[in-house]
Amino acid sequence: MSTNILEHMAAARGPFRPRTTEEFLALQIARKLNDLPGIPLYLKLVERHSRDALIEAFRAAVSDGHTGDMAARFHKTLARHREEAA
Amino acid sequence: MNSLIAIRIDRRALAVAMFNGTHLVQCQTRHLSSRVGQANDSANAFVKWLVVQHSPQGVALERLEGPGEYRRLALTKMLIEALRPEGVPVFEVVKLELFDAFGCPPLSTRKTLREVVVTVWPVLAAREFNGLVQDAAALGLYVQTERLFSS
Repeated sequence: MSTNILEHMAAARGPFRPRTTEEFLALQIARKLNDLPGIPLYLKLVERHSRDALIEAFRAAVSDGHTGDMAARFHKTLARHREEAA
Repeated sequence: MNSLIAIRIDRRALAVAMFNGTHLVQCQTRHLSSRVGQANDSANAFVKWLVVQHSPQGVALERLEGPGEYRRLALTKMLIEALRPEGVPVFEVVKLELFDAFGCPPLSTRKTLREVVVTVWPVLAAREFNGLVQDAAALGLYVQTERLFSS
């Protein structure tokens, strides 16, 4: 499935249109984190993580008191969740 | 998960997409009379019936901003007023928000938006589902996904 996404992105060569509701969620997360160039990564994340985990990481990334790179905080939180779950 | 009724209002029809979470569960279209009074009564009754039947936790409508859409605007205002006593939250979304949300770079036409929607739900390409239903589905998915972030 990841290969399919990469093929999809490669075929798209820039423009991206979601094909599923999960891909739509990936696009919204990327938009809200101001990380649209990172869409291929978010497409993989929605396959690997539960929706709840993604939303929780998003909230942590944009919560009050945080400034700077929201996308980096999002990925850090998700990585921490993955380690804790392992 | 939250349920939602997304309604695309046109001069002569209401298209409805019902969601449970981000899952599209049902679509339908109600055609309206060319007579304004009759159309208003029918639209009003239809939306109230939907709310009673499905007890949604929200209703999404497209907020109109362009000129020359008097009839649609009047219908939209009337339905918002009709929903107020029902106590159902109403989410209004402008078309450009949908265009921004459904593509990178953002979409620029309804035609493209409908193409994306049919890719997500191929069943909506069937003849029984017109473009208005596809618009309602886009509206519903957008609002339901936004609610994930805010709830």
